[in-house]
Amino acid sequence: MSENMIKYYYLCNVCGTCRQQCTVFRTNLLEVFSPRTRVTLAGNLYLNKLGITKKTKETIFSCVLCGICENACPSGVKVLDTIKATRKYLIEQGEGPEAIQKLLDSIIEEKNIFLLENEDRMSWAEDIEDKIKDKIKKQSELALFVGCQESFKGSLYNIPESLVSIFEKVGIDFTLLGDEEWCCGAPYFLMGIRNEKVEEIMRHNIEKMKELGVKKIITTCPGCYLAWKEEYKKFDKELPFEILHSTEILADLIKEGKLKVEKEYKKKVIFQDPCDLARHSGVFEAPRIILKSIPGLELIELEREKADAYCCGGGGLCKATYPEIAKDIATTVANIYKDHGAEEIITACPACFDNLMLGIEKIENINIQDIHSLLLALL
Amino acid sequence: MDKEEIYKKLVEICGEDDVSIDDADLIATGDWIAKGLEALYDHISFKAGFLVTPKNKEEIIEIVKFANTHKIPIIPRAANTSLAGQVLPLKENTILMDFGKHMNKILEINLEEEYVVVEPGVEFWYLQEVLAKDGYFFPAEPGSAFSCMIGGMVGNNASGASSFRFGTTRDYVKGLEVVMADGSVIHTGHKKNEKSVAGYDLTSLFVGSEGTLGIFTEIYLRIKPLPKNEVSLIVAYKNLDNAYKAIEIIRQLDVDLALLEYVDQMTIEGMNANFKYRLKKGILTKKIKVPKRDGTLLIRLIGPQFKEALRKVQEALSNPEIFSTDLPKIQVLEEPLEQKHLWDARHYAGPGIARNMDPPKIPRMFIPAVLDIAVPPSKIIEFLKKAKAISQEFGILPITMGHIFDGNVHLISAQNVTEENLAKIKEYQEKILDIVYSLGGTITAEHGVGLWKQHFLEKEYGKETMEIMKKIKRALDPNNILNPDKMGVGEIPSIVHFKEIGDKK
Ligand SMILES: Cc1cc2nc3c(=O)[nH]c(=O)nc-3n(C[C@H](O)[C@H](O)[C@H](O)COP(=O)(O)OP(=O)(O)OC[C@H]3O[C@@H](n4cnc5c(N)ncnc54)[C@H](O)[C@@H]3O)c2cc1C
Ligand code: SF4
Ligand code: SF4
Repeated sequence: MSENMIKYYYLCNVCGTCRQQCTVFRTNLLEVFSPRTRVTLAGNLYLNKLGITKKTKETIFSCVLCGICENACPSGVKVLDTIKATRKYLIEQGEGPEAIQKLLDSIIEEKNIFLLENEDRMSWAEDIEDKIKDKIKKQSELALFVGCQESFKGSLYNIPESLVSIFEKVGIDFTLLGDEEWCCGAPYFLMGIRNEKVEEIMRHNIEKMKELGVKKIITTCPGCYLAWKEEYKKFDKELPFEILHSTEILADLIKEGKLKVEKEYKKKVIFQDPCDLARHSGVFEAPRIILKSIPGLELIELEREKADAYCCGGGGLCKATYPEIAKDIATTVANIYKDHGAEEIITACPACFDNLMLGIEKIENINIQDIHSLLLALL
Repeated sequence: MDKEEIYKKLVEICGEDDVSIDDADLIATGDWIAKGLEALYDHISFKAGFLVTPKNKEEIIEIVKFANTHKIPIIPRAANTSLAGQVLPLKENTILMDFGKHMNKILEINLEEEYVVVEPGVEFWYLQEVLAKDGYFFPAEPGSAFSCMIGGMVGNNASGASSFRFGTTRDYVKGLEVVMADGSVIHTGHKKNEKSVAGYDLTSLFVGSEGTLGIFTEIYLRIKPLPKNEVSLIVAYKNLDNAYKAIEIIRQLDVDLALLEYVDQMTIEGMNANFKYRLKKGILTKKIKVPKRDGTLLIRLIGPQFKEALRKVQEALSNPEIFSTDLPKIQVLEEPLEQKHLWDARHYAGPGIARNMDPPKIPRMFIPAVLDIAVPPSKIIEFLKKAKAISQEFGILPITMGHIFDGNVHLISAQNVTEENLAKIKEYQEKILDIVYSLGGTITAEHGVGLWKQHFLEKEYGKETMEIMKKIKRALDPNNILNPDKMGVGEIPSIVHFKEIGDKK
C-alpha cells in the first residue's frame, strides 16, 4: 500500500470546495463521486476501515484525472496522487477493472494498448506513404512520436497525417520510430504504477531516440507529451531531449512567419484545452496563437478557460471501464459550448477528439475538428 | 426490523438504482471533526445503513411512512457541507436521503412576482447563474456558495458575510411543501403574497430546523434584482485599534455597504497563498496581494452611488486628523473578476493556510463550538480582545475573521486530534463561550447547532425554552425518526464531549 493513499487524508478538511466542479461528479451529483470522498475512501482503505467495494472501485477508476479538483482545493490536497496510489493498490489486489488490466498487459506484450501487432504501427500513414517512407528510422534532430491512439485508430489517422503534411510544406525534416515506437507507458502512470516492465518500455523508447540522434521530440498527443515530460524525466534525470507538443512548434512557425494561413475560416469556435496540456503542463497560448492567425475565425473564450477549462471526459482511462460516464461528460461540455455560441469545437488531443465526437452524437449544429487538420486545410 | 428487510422495502419504493448499501456510499464524508475522531478511536464510526436518492415526493412519503412505522431514522441530506455535524448518522440503519441526484430542478421562475419554486437539491450557484441571466439573484449567500444546495440552506437557515445588508435565508423563504414524519404533506406560507399574518409562522419554524421536523420537497423563494454596480477595497492599517476606529466611522457613513470583513494576519496569509497559487496556474491573470497588517478590512460597496460612496469611504478612512500616524494602505478593485477572486480567497482563507505547510501525519479537526459565534455588534471589539487573551492563554491561535456588522466572528483553528488535545479543546471552547454568553451572544450565527454544539443550547436559552423546543419536536415527530439526537431536542450523545467516548486505540 502506498503512503500516498493517506498522505493528504488529514490535510483534506472535507470542505467540499472541490465537489461542485468535479468533472465526474457533475454527471451524477452523487457524493461518492466527489473528490473529497475519493480522498476519504483512499484513507479509509489505507486505515483498514473500509473493504474494497463495488462503489469504491467505480469512483476510483472513473476519475478522469482532469485535476480540476486540485485547482479548486484551497488546502493543496493532491487528489490525483491519492487516486493513482489507490488505483495501484486495487490493481495489486487483483481488483482492477478487466479492461484496464488488458490494456496494461497489452502494453507489455504487444508494445501498444490495442493488443495489435506493433509492426503495423505505421498503419496511420498508408495514404501518405510517399511523404514518410524515407523518414522512418532516419537520422534527424526532430522526432515525431505518434502514440498508440493515432497510430492504430482509423478515425484519428488524420491528426499525424496533417502534421506531416504541414511539415512537408514548410520543409521541416523529422524522423519516425516506425515499429520501434512503443507505447509511451502513460496508462501505467495513470494507474500510479512504475515497475520494471514499464521502465523497460521507457528505456527502449529513449534508446531508439538516441540512436537516431534526436534532440527534440514532438507529440500530437498530450498524454504522450505529459508522459515524456514528467515520467520520462523522472526516470532519466539526464533525458537529452526537448519535449514539445505539436501546437508549440506550429505556433513558433507562425510567429517566425514561416507558416501563414491565407484562407478565411468564418466560424465561431471554442478550443478544448486538453487537461494534460493546459492544466497539467501550462501550455495554453500555443494553440491560441494558431487559431488567432486564422482570418475570419472567431475564438470564443469562456469564463472557465485555459488552466480552469472544462474537461472533455476522455482522460484518466475512465472511458475504458465507464464509457457511459465519459460520453456523458462530453455531451455536457459540448452543450455548454453550444450554449456559448460555438459552431465548432477545435481539439488538439486524440482523446478529446474521440470522446467529443461521441458526445455530440445527439447534438445538432456543432462539430469537432482537429487543429492540425484545420490548419492544413487552410494553408 | 433487520437490515435485509429494510433494504427490500426501500428497493420496492425507489428501485435498485436509488438505494445503496455499499459502504463507500455510507461512510461519513463531510465532517472534519467526525473524520478526526474516527481516526483516533477504532470503535467510532459514523456510518449510515442506507443511502436513498428519491425521485419525487411520492417516494419520500412512502419511505417516511415505512420508517415511521418501524422507527427507522432518516437524515435528509443536500450537499453535505454542514459544519456542525448535522448530517452525520448516529444510529444503526439510518437512512440518508440525498436530493442531489434527482430532486434538483427549478420548478418555476416568476420574475413579475419575484419568486422561484425549487426542489431541495438545486445547487445555490446554479440557481444564481440561471437568475443572473434575467438580472435577479437569491441574496442569502453563505461561504459555501460554491457547493451548497437550497434544501440545505433552508435546513440550516444559511447566511453569510453580506447578511447584515441582505438578510438570511429565512428572510427569503416564502413558503414550503413539507413531508411530515407521519408521511402527511403540508404547505406553509404563501408563494405569491408579500404580506400575511395568518396563523402561526410555520415557515419560520421549519427554516433552520436542520432536518429534525420535516422534509422539504418544494421551496418557495423570494428573489431580488441584482445590484448593478460594485467596487471592493482592501484597507490596511498597521494598528488593529485603527481598524476598530475605521469600523466605527464606516458605521456612521451614509453608503451602501454590501460587505465589511475584518481579516487577521493568518487569514491574510491564507488569502495570499490562494492568490499565489491561482496566479501560478494562470487562473488569476493580475497579481493581488493583501498587505500583511494587523488592522486589515475588506469592503464592498454597491448601488448606483457606488463611486461617490468609494470617495467618501476612502476620504473618511484616511482622515489625517484621526489616522495621522497610521494612514492606511488602500487598494481599490474594480474589475468584477478581480473582485470575485478577492472574495473567493476570503472564503477559502482558512484552508488556504494549509497550502504553506506539509501534509499532517495525524488527524486534525476544527474546534467546533467557536467556529461561528456572534455577539451584539456593539460588543464585537470587546469580544475580539477578550478572545485573543484566552486563545493566547491556551496556546491556540485561531484564524480570526468576522462579519463585523453582524457581530459574527469565525475562530478557525485546526487542532491535532489526540486525547490530550481534545481535553484542551473542550476547555477552550467552554471559556470562549463564557465570554460570548456574558456579552449576550450566541453559539451559532450561521452554521447551525447540529451534533457538535447542542449541549450548549440550554446555557443559551435556559431549560424552559429548551423544553418547548423538545415539545415541538415530540409533537411533530413522536417516534423521533427525523435526524434524531441533534439540535438539543433529543438525547444528547456523549460523543459531543470528546473525552467520554471510550478507549484509545
Ligand atoms: C467552507 C464552508 C463555508 C461555509 N460558510 C457558511 C456560511 O458562511 N454561512 C452558513 O450559514 N453556513 C456556512 N457553511 C455551512 C453550510 O455549508 C451551509 O449551512 C449550507 O447551507 C448547507 O447546505 P448543504 O446543501 O450542504 O446542506 P447539508 O449539509 O446537506 O444539510 C444541511 C441541513 O439541512 C437539512 N436538510 C437538507 N435537505 C433538507 C430537506 N430537503 N428537508 C429538510 N431538511 C433538509 C439537513 O438534514 C441538515 O440538517 C459553510 C460550510 C463550508 C464547508
Ligand atoms: S477542496 Fe480540498 S480540502 Fe476541500 S474537500 Fe476537496 S480535497 Fe478536501
Ligand atoms: S481529477 Fe477530475 S474527475 Fe478526478 S476527482 Fe478531480 S475533478 Fe473529479
